[in-house]
Amino acid sequence: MNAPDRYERFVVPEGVAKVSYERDTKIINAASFTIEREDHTIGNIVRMQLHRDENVLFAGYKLPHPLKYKIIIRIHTTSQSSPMQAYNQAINDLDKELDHLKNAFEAELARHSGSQSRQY
Amino acid sequence: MEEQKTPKISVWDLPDVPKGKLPPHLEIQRTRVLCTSDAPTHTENIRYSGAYASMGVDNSLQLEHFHDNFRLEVIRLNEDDMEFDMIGIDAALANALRRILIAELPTMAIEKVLIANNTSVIQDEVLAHRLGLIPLKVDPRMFEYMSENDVPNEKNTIVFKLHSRCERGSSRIKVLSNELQWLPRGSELALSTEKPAVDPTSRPRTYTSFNCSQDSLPEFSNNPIGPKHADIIIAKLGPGQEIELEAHAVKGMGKTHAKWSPVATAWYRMLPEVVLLQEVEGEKAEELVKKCPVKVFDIEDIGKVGRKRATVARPRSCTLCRECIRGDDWDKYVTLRRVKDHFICK
Repeated sequence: MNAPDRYERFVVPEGVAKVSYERDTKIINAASFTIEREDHTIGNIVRMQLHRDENVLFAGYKLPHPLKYKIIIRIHTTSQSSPMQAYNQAINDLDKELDHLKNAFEAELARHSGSQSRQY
Repeated sequence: MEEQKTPKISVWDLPDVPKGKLPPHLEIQRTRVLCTSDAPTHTENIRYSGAYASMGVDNSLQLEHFHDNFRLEVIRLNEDDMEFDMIGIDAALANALRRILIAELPTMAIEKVLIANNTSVIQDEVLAHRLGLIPLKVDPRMFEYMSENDVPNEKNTIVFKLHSRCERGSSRIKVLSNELQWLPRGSELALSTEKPAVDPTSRPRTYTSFNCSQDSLPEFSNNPIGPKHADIIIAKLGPGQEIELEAHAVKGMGKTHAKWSPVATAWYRMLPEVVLLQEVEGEKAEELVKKCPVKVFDIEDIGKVGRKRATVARPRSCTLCRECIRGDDWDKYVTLRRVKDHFICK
């Protein structure tokens, strides 16, 4: 009865920025990114990719409330790079990985359906 | 007594520690989940790039490393299901792929049902719910999403009609999903708010405004749109009952409602690995083979003496029921492990 509409999970309303950024005043090279209308599907992957970066000291994501559809990603880096740079790099790397995954999958499917004579 | 002074050698110079890689027990901890009899251990992925920095091993992952190690094998591919293996990928990516398959791929499903006559025992809303869950055999890429303000036209709606009645005096009939007829020209129900048209030759306005018949589109001209399975029971009618309705199907994602989810389900599991720590021979081997319900173990004969030895024949079918490590002493013979980056997806 009080549940929000299901399309709220992915439709960003007018005037709301999809990604917003806040620097942490007390710690240097630390920032939080707030992404609207996303959930664990994106958050977990970005967190995993940030962990692979050597310059990142701390990376984590959370959903403040399961009925409010946004995630907060917090990143601390060394002085070698900035959170903004780490975040951009992580997303670009993920993009390339997923492209590679897609190409490998399509190649494998083509190869598999080409040799349909194999019985399983 | 004076203690003998042994010369101090650093651990890395000892002859059996491989340089540049982790020692074997740590390598097992990093790449395998150990499934003991009470709980699995070492389940987390050590993704942090500096985790093994003190050992001089670089745990960070570069793109080339991923390119080299990633492999994908399709095991089975039918029209209705598929099983494939992804090797070298992280758990977060496999889970994201699973979530996306269930929730974010678009399909077509019946959304609005206009009921003209329903004298059956199934209530209107229950009938509409059941119609929404019927899978339709149509490629959703040929359609566009429809929002609240859009007029339903041939680019975003599919219209079906269902008219079925059970005559008085005959026995009960079942309404199957193959009685849903596709109307390529759009809705036939007239909008009731229109005043009677002055010009008798013009067509009355209906609930949808199709500019051209969907039949004429090249994709649909030879394969008509219909439900995927023809034998789904929609309702059962007793004598004298009738259902007459029109159903409009639109494009949507699983996130909004589960009827738009394209898969029945999608799941993944890690590749199980069964390792025999010691040689299991003779009667113990027979016992081990009998214990496993999915027949992971097999007997092979060694040597001329005819002694039997157990080997692991089909580790992939292990369901991790832990039968083989139940009871006393079996822990010393068998360990169950899971490979952390090899996922079997179905």
